[in-house]
Amino acid sequence: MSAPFIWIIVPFFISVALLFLRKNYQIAALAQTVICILLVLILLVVHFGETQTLSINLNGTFNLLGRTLEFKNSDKFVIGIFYAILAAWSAALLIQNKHSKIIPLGLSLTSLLLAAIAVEPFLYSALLIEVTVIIGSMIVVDLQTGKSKGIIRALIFFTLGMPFILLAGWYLAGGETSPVNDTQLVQATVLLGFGFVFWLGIFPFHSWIPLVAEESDVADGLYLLAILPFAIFIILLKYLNGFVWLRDFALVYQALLLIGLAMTFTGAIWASFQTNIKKLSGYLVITFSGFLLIALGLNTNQGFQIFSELLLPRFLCIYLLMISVLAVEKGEAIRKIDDLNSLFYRFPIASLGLLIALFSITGMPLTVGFLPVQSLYQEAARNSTVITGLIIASIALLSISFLRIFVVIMQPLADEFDTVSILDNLKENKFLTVVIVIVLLAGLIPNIFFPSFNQILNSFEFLVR
Amino acid sequence: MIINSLLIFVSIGVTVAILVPRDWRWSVFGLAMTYLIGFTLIVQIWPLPLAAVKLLSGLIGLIILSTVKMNAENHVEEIGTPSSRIFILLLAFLSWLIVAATINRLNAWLPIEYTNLFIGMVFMICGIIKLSTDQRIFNVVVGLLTLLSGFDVIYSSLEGSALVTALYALIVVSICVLGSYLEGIFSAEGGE
Repeated sequence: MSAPFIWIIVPFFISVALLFLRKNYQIAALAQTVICILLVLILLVVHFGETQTLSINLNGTFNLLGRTLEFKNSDKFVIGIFYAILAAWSAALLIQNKHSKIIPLGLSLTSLLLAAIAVEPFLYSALLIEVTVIIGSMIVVDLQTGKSKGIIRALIFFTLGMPFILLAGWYLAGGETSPVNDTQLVQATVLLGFGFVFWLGIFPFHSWIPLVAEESDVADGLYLLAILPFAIFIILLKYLNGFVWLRDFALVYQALLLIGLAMTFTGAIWASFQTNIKKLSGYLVITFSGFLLIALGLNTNQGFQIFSELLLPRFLCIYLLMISVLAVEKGEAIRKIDDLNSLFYRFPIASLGLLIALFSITGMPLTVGFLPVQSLYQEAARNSTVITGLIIASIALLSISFLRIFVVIMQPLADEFDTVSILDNLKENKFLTVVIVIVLLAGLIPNIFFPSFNQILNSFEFLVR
Repeated sequence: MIINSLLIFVSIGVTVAILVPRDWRWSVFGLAMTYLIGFTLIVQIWPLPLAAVKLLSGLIGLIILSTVKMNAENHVEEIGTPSSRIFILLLAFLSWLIVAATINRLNAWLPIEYTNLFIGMVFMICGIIKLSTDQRIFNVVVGLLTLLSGFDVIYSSLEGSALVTALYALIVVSICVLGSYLEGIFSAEGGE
């Protein structure tokens, strides 16, 4: 039995099998949640690769059509993140009894993203990412909104990115061991750069992100926006780790820093002028991707560590935002920020969740975002005060925008209103409370939550020195 | 040599069929021709079964796409103005000129057969023009498929593997399935 078979092939076929169970949605959702949790738990007791005593050993490679899917032992944490996120989303959908195509297509999506990360030679990851985007598009299509502009744009941009990555991979294939000449280096870097610019939604190719967030159901859209950029970041790190001359090429990091700043700043500006809640979440995803790129662009061990630590608030904030909006949407539809008027008096827990998620992104003290954002300020300041200034300005813009939302949510009700009880939706409220507590605990006791995320860097032993 | 030169001229004719007429049947015909031209070029480098997979997956995809259009036959498509068609034709003409002017330099980057590179580039740019000048889902999907077909001609000349062929076939069919799904439910949306 090999690891890629268990974490890629089996989940893919389970996803296909669950398609037939989808009429019994609750059972399918429960099955998917349990399977994902099991897949995460199995990771704790197995070892990939060489034989180790006191653990169950699995072969790290699986041959597929003449190519190899390969997991190293250090990849276990990344695999765990993918399935933990899917488990969390599935559990939320199950608890909220919300119908979504994440069940069961989420399993296919996750297994294909892991295949894109595991495939060797890893230039083939471009093709698998394209397949993933097509499946992702099927997940986020929402018949109720009747719009598909974002999905089509995502498909176009990812399809445009694929040839660049494949050609760069072909260029680099000879350069893994032997050095390439300067011209080839520049050509391959330009091709790779274009590919990742399309894939990461870097300005001006970012428009699909807010559109997908707006046009899709909140659970579907945010799931895709949480998981897809993360997989692309891992592939980017794999490229940087895999080619010695690429990771030593200073221009690459300068480019990452520059586009990271552009994403952070433009994302923050658009977010601050946004009145549509779903679109706002899309811009926040852009801003956070900018933070991650800045952390990578710093090209220091501390920067890479900040990158891994930023992932925790990214996932937790998106998740808390999603479940809070879902809880509110059960009672009433929200589109604009004005629809949140006096929300606290109707949905106290959900509105708290929404506010905590938003303020965590800005790195507010006592929230999960505080430690990594603070570390990012410090590390960026060592590099350049201009960079720090731009990050702080972006955060300030977001904070002002979120304060406006805070005021709208806390607006006192003018007339008499029906008192609400948190017992009305006890199950949803308990679930929301647990997630809020986790987000706050991660901010209060970062030593417990953050060090484990540094394990992501174990897969990139040449990059992190 | 004669066949390859002929293929270059046919490919230019095919791009006109994809870009200019408003009837979806011309687009489908043009796309089918791109797969056929691609097959003719790839079969010179690759074994017949692998080249045939690309042709067949493309044609299967086209059947899937066409089914939706045939079922929505009574839906009247808005006809573009003649000036828009002239503009697109001029744009295509400009792209052929650019490809012809830069192909030798590009060939230094990508050391493959001149014919393959030329046709691949012509198809790729045709696809980009198609998907950027029309917002309707069907036409965007046709544009994407033309782009992919052009890239496939180039990439197959560089690298041949069963996994790439399988994934490429899966991508083409999946895009067609997604396109027909979206076209079926959102056909009323969009416009040029």
